[in-house]
Amino acid sequence: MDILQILCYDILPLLLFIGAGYLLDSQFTLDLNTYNKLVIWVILPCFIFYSMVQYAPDWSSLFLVPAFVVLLALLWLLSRLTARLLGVTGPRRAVYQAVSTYSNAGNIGIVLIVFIYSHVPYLAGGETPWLDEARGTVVLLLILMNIAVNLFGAGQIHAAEVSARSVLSYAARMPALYAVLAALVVQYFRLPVEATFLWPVLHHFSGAFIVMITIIVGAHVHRSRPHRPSPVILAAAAQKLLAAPLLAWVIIEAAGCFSPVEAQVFLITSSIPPSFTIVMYAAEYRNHSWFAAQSVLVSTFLGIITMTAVIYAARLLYPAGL
Amino acid sequence: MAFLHIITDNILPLILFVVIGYFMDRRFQLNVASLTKLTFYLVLPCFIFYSIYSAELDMNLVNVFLFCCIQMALLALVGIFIGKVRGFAPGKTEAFKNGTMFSNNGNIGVALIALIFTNAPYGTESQAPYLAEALAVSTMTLVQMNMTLNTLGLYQAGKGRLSPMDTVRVILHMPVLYTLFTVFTIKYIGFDMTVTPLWPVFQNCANALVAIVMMALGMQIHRSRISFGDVDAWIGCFVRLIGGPALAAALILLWNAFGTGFSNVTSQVILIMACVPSAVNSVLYAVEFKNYEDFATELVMMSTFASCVTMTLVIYAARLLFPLPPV
Repeated sequence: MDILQILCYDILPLLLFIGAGYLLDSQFTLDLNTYNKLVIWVILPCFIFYSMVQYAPDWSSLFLVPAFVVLLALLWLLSRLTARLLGVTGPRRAVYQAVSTYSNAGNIGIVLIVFIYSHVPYLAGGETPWLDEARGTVVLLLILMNIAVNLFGAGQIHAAEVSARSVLSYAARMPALYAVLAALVVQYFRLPVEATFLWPVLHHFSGAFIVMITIIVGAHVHRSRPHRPSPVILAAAAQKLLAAPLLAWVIIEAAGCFSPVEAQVFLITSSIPPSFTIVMYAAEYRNHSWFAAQSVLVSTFLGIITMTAVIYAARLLYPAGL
Repeated sequence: MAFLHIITDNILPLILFVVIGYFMDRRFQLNVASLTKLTFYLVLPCFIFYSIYSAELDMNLVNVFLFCCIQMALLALVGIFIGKVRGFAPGKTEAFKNGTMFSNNGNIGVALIALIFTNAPYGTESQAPYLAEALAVSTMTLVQMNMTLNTLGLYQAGKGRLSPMDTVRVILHMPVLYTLFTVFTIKYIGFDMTVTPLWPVFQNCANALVAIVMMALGMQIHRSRISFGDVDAWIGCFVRLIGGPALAAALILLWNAFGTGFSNVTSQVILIMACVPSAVNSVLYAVEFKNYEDFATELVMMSTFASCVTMTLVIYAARLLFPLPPV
């Protein structure tokens, strides 16, 4: 029954949104630049601020950061190894490693987490007691993931050096990071944002966030044409969708200090299919963009099955319900 | 003063969205059509479905529904008359009608009613004896507005540029009509939508509407030349903010004298709902059909600003005309 519930209230609504984006893009050819600019500059920072202001982490939550970095590093090493076994070399290896490592935490990850913690068994008398913590956790992981994809991912696909300076300058240009800083200031001084006119604005933006980011995914799916997947593509998908949650589970058990909700979110975020941002970079740097698009597409489809399983497993492994 | 809350909690956020849309468009050259398409084909239908499905309609209030329709028809006549007198092109008359017949009930009106009847003198922290009736009436006027604005309003905007047949053809290609039909059928059958996978989609889209529509309005403002000096826009503002409630008050008094009669709570609610500024959707429709976008935008913006003053007056007048014992 739990599996059905996950399919019905988490995966299916996500697919409906993606389907709506697919149809809209096939009918009207949406201008994705408009959506991306609004998301990056306004909607995502507002959503992050809104989530972080309501997030009350423990000190142990800080271990999420090194744990996530270790997870990405392990996936990177694993994909390097499998690349050698499969004979993937040269510039294509960078793309292969990227689609095996980086999750689409910003679109699919956040939407799933918001859906999951908004209905039974995480709903009690109209309240969603776990949503704040879950959203805060996934936002934290999302920020790390964004830095990783946009710096290391982009750097490797471009075959460019990633220096400490480029990391810092990228982070300094990230509106999302300022949103986190602002939220920290608000939390530290206990400023009553809830009582100001900004609160309804933030609330409405977090509503728009879910719609925008899923429509973007749908439009991307529409613009990539599916083909029969090659073994290399399937290998990348297996790593992203199966090896990643397995490694995440090992890391959670090894760390042993996460709350059940943190552990669930960590596990689920690790199992999210790769990000369309990689396709964008591959296209921009003319580095096997067809391969990147196919990989992301195949993983996104297969992810429907594996994510359902991982969400279910997360519930069994780290029970947090009521 | 409770009314200040409406300005800070309901009007200021709307204006902030508009400002954000304006500056984003100035900085990045965005595409308004991508937002209007998203609104017409996904967000707005979901919002209409969600709001009508979750509205608890009291069938005893059918006369409120009829009353609102009569009021709207009279405002349409006023619009046609002014169009004749001022010598408007046919398209501009339609834009004028859209800006004066329809108001922003969903964002401002319902919140205003909820606030008035939970604050002094009609409510305290522990009790609000008039609230249930007031909310039921405002919900009815909201549903009436949603139904007419998204069908008739769309038609009027289209008629500015297209022949009536072509307009109907365009509207039949949009999901709004089908949504209305579906939601009333489902409501009539009594099917529980909240347990279907569609429900989270409706809920999230309904939440997204305000931000997307208001940002689109901001972008449109950036593209249009607004002078705040157009006489016709001022006339429109006057009709919407003063003429609308004056007409409503006269009609209610007539209705109470000769018709079935409304209670004083219902009368107050109808009057207050009649003083809300112009509907933002009228701008989106104008953009979609390229029918006097600048004029429609100007009317919405000016009436929203001016309503901060006029709404206070109307709320006060409602208390004098239809007095209720204070709580």
